[in-house]
Amino acid sequence: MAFLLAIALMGGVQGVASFVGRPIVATEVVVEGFRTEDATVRSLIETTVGEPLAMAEVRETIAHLFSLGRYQDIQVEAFAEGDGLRLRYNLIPIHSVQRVEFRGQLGLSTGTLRQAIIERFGPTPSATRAPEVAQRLQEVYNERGYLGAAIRPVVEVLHDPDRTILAFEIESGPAARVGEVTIEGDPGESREAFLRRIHADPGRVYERIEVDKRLSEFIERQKRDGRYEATARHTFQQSDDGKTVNLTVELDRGPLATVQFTGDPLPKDRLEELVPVRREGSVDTDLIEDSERRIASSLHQQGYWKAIVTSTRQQTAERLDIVFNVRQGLQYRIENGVEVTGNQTIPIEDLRPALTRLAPGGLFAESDLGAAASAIRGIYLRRGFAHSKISSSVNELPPAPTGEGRVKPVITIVEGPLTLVGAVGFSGNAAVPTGELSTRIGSTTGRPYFEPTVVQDRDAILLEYRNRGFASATVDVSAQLAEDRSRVDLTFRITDGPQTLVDHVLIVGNVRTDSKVIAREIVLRPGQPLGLANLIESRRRITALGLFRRVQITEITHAGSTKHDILVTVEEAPSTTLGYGGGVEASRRLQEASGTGAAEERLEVAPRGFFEVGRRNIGGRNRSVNLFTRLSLRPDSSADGAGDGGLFGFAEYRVIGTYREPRSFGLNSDIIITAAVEQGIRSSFNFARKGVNAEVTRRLSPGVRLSGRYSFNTTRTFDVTFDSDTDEGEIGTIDRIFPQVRLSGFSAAISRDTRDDVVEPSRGRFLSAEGSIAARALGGQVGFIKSYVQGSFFHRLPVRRRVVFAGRAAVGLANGFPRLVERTDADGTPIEGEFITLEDLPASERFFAGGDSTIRGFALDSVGAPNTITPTGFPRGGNAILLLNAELRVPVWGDLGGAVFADGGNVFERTTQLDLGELRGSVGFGVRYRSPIGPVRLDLGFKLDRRTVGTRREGPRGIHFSIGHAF
Amino acid sequence: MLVLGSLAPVRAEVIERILAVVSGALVLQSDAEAAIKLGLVTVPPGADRLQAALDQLIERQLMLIEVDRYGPPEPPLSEVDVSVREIDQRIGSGERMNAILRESGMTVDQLRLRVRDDLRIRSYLLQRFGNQPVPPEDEIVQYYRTHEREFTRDGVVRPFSEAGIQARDALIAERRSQLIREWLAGLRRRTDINVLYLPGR
Repeated sequence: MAFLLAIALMGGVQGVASFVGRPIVATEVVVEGFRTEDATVRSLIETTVGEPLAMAEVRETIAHLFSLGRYQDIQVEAFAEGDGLRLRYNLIPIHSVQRVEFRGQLGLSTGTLRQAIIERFGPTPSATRAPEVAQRLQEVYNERGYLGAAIRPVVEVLHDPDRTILAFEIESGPAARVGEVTIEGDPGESREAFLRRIHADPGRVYERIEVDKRLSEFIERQKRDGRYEATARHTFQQSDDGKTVNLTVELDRGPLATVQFTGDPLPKDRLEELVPVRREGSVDTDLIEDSERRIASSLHQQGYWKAIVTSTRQQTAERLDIVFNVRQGLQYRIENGVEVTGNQTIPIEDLRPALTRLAPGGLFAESDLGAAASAIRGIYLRRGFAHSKISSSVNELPPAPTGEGRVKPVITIVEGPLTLVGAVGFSGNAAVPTGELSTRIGSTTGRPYFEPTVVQDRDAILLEYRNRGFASATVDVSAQLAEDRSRVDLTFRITDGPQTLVDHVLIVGNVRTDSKVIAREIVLRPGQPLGLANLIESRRRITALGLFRRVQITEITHAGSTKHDILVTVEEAPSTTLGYGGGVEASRRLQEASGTGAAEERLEVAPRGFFEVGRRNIGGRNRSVNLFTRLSLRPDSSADGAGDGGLFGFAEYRVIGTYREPRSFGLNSDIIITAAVEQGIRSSFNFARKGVNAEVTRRLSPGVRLSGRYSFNTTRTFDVTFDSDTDEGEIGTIDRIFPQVRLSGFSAAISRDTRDDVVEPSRGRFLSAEGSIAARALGGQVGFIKSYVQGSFFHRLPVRRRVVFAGRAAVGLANGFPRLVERTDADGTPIEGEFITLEDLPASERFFAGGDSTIRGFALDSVGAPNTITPTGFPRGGNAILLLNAELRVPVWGDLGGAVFADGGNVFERTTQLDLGELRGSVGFGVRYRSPIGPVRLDLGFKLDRRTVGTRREGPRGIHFSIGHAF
Repeated sequence: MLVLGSLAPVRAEVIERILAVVSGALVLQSDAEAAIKLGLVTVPPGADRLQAALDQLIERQLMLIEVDRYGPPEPPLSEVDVSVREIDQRIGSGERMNAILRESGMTVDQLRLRVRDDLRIRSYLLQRFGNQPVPPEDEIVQYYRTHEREFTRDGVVRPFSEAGIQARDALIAERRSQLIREWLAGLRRRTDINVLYLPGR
């Protein structure tokens, strides 16, 4: 009876074994006593109603739920229900510490206590570290004289919202005061003054940390006075009642040290650098020996090959004299350069770069000879001479009549056999086929054997395994050398280890952003290998969304499982962005000369500013809107020079509103809709434009982008400088007939970008081609077809400095669709009954050249074939353009660099007139400064052939100041 | 009697829970139960069995983190086979083994993985702490004198000339254990460990 009663009261404890295999009749999830139907949580539960209970699924569920990072504890309860069971997942949320509080009699300021915590644990340490924090606070109290302080951590858990207050109940007790003080040693001043100085005068609150700090200052003072071996420390003894402490202060000022030099003199301005006793505050043996070596090395570099430096140390109780004895000997020069012997396979020309510091007549430094021998050894190793031996000898010659020493260095090479890679094999590679591994390595049969290449091969194989989820794979290489040393057979021995697969991909931290937006950037898929490259690419793509301040991808391991959850934690950036800035623009531009109306170049300085406001991640789908405004105030440039009497004559402005929707319509394409109002300035006319664009762009591969665009705009040209000319050419006519022209058209573009850096490229290419068509059938007033193709090439030269060669070629061609219009007079009034067929483009669509990004010997837009220039010297633009640029970019010092360039090209009235023999050219040089906003550039270009354009003689040069490279 | 039995409330039983989190890795109740039942941990008499197992599993996890960082050589499959066979023999029957694995939610492959990790840990420890220098003679003598009981047979202390090598090996083993203990203590200090299990809860 009693036994049965006991069973009944136990409620039937049955053990896990009795539940396993029983069907699950219900599953509930409870968060701190309340049921939840959170979809994310539910989706991670692996146990299924109606299925038998499997503990593996329970374990998996716990692992997934914990991976969410929301819960600190998870327990799973089972309730027997008939033949089945009901499962309950109890989730205990993380109650992160919201604040830290200090309660009770503190004695110290809360600022002091908080700072001590922040320094070691951060502003809000986790509740689990409360005992450690309390221990640190105890140390702080002890350091500040509260030797009997009692500190008790209290963790207060609060709900709705879940949070924790980490409190410390403190009973500081009284601060101990300094009692008797015993000083052992000479403080160098009166006892009272010294005790005051070190905060240890009797009766003062005893703060150990403060006394230690003051004693450190005492040591520093002694060192400044040349007593580098000074020491100071203190110990304390507490009274029984804990109210006073008796101190013992031990001081040793050490001997007064001096540094002297005998023998040959050394430059006085280098003594501190060569013998840094004062700077280091030390005279220890290592430092003195280093100083000896430093002096000797300095002399050796100056050609004093046999310089000897020794030092002696003479110490008494009060003094320490360190004496350096310097014997520099003769200064040696290299007689007739270095001799290299034994190089049978590699010609001396190939070895010459290693010998640059051993020039004939140059000062001889033995370290340079050693470096040259090492460099030659490197050349031989890279070419497969793994057993080559390189030795060097100085070969001293009799001194020159001038008294200088002479040497004839010799580098002797014993090449040994050429060792080639023989058979290359792989073993143990169950997961990756041999064929695929072979393509990853550089050591192939018949190539010179070079050990670093083999090491790189091993790393490449390992990386391949990491990318396939084999995180613990190992690769060893065995190299079997043939007896005649002519070949090495390589075997890469691989141990695959277990492959890790992705289980669940969990996304947390996103409040406004739709999880789908993040999920589609993640290239790790459940069930697929957890590869390193995919992990990095996922992080890169999520970061590239621009929506997050922080992106972290963590691998969550499950004990005893090769399936890992991927936890993507994001921290959203603010949705609203603001930007503003200002500056001054300086450029040379063609303007009408006073009186004659002829074109002349003038330097124009214009203040400018911009303001930008944007809202991103609208609706959590990464859509964004942006408003950009820019204003530039141009100086009054009216021909009479009078203007309206104001300082500025023309406002250049641009207002652009943009809506962007990435991956719209479920496609891998972005839609960008832009509306813009702008007023701008060119050399021959000013314009005001209003329009809208709708663009679809699609990234075909990481470097290739395809886009299509429809645009509708109205452009009004005014202040035209060529409409008064008497030329009856079409170009002038179209601008007279359509001072305001409406254009409607489509364009398509494709680009391929393999540059390593868009702002400061050092290698790669950028190719783009754009074609556009505008037609009256689309609602425009003028129809034309236009194309522009360009290619840029960047190559880092194989020299030590980061010298980059950059080149560009661009060609633009356009043709207007014929249109019959009434002829107009010079004022633009139609002449009745007279018609003309126009096949030209309006001014705003024609090509212009000249300026900081095209041909730098010329002012903005000032280049053109003679028939595109008005008699007064203003460019009218043309239907064809050709540009060729070459530039050498050389770093000079730090962020400063220089460039030399050659530019060529021209603008032609008709595509049929394009003539390579008619190109205008310029050469020049420039200065670059690598700033955080891109390279700041100052270029000075010189025309190769100055001409008389219209009525004026072209200036010899163009000067340009701008930000960003020319191309 | 029957009435009492049927009136008993339906009591929940905790079938799984998190016992500790070691640098983000979970140690579950089923891990501890399986380790005990498979004989992978030792439970001193009178100790709380879960607590004893948990302490050892936390240390194992700490070591595993270090092992994964330095990547010792992969143990041969044959060694894994031998270790699994040893566990099998300890358990006594395949049926019992299957029951333990089922109750702890573990598959045979996962058990092999666990054994593999244990072998990697052993290899790492051997590599890192295996080559202890031979202590000087006076220290061996000192050890011999302070641990006489270890060298006592049938109530008679064996002379140093006879027990010297055994004393040397014991001293080396003790120093090695001491180094591992200190290393583990350092790992514990540096690692974020959250123990949720309280004995009796």
